[in-house]
Amino acid sequence: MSDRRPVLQTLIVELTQRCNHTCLHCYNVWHPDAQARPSDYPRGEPDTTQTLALLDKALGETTCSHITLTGGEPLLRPDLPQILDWLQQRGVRTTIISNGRLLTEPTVLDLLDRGVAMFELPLLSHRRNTHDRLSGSPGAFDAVLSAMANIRYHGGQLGARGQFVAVFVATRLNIPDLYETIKLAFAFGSRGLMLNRFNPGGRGRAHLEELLPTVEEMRHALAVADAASAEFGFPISSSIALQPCLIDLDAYPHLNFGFCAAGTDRAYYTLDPLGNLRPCNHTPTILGNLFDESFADLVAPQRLAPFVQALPAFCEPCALRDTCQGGCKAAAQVCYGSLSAEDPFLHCNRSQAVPRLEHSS
Amino acid sequence: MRCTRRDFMKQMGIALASLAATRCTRVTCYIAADLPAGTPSADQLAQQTAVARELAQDGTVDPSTAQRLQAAIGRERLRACWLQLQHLAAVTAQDSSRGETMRTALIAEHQAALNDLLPLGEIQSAVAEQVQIAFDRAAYHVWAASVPITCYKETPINYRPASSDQLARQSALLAEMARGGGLDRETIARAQTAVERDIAFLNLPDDAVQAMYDKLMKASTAGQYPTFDRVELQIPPESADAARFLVELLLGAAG
Repeated sequence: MSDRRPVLQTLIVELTQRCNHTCLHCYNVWHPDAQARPSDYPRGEPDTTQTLALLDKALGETTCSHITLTGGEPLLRPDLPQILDWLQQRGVRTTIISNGRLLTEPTVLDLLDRGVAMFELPLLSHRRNTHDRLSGSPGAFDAVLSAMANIRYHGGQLGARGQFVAVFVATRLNIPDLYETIKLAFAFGSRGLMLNRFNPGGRGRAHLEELLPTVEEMRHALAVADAASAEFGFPISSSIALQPCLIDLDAYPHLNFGFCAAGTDRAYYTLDPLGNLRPCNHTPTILGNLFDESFADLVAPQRLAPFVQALPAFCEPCALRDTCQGGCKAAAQVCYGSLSAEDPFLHCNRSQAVPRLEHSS
Repeated sequence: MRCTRRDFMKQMGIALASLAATRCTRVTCYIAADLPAGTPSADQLAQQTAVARELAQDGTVDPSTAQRLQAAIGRERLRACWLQLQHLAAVTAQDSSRGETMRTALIAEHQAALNDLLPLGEIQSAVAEQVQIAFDRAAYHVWAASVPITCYKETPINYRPASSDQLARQSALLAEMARGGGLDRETIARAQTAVERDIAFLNLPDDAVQAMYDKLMKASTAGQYPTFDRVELQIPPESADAARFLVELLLGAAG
């Protein structure tokens, strides 16, 4: 057993695998594959005592002081208040990733009182029909905007209580709406926009052709976002890897770009309801079960190596391979069966790729 | 002890101005209310106000949501005016004329934000009037206290050091709690009541204070005066509402 506590900035905790939306782009790893074959990913939801025991072990064995609660839809857990109270007593900062459907005004007030500091909420379009279609749920648009307004109204006092950040999943269906959607997120008081290109996985695999944007469409989206960020003084970041061989990221100076952080201090390890730990929330790769092993053992370099070191053969000659890592390994894994396969965005657009043979900024 | 509503709100404004402007360090010197990271700038609030007005008219969003958004932005515009008092102090110290221009603009923006909140039912007209008086006075206090050459002074009286010290501690506690999150509603309510009481005392005109001292001295035995906590004070209802509105607005206890 390792004796050093792993350094974690945050830990993603999937409280439940249940959801009240059926998003076309959903990447949850327990969904059926593109051929509608059931996933063999472990399913289940423990009781409150087990969940708290799991959190206690995770927090005790790491330096983590920030938990991101997600799912499925975490608000479907009836014991969410108890879990939040427990986290608050431990002095843990809490973020909730939600679709916003259940964030009514009383619920928002209750969650703010229980110390939820940040909500991540989807805003997929400024058009009701588009947002609802991508969410697979009529009424989703009105519900999430109501949630945002309530968080701003009740949570904006001196910025000390809860805030929210809007998430735009860029697909072929909604990229034309991006500017107006950014304007909407800005007006509602979002702290920024997470501009994530559609990353196939889970249910999203069945909608790959329908949703995966082309390189040209993503360039257009980034140009729009870059200009809007400057216009509104509004932070916009893109965390799902965009390969520099496909898109010159330096052309969008107002945007922040991220790449896979697995294996680093910025990694977002993901704990499922049963205690299975994964390198991130997009991959079905299970490092082991926290009930059975220590956190340090689960994230030991040799355990992570197959995930961290995986690289598509196409990327081997590229000078940026250590930064880019080929994009999202998890998406490659779930779509093409191997961590070393090509990220679908690269795979579908490889003819346009211009590998960097010399290091550039 | 009674005071006029106008006098009350003037002193309320001065007290709260001292929360927001570090320059005002005499009568009530507490901690500055730092602008939290991510707080919209004045320009951003103006942009958001314009978009929210469009949304309220074009049907993009549910009408009740558009209204709630407008209310949230209106409150933030008010808060931004108070939080800019610190900047007003700095500008005035450099150039009193520029400070005067900024003071005028802030007062106008504060009034405009209140005007936007009125039809939304966020604040009653009589209370809004009191709040505007408080801000007007607060802005003048900051400006006058920051002009390079001034003989501007608030009148100190005997109970005032105790009162302002308590107010300082209460306000600091509230601000600390607001920053740290996890607000306890009962504690906030108790603290607000105490803040209002202290401000009520600080607002008393000198003749009222002197009358109170005369009465206390007459009733005392062997120089035994009641502690400040036991002094009886009466606050006009609209002024109490306005005080609560402002304390909530600035210290984060709304809702």
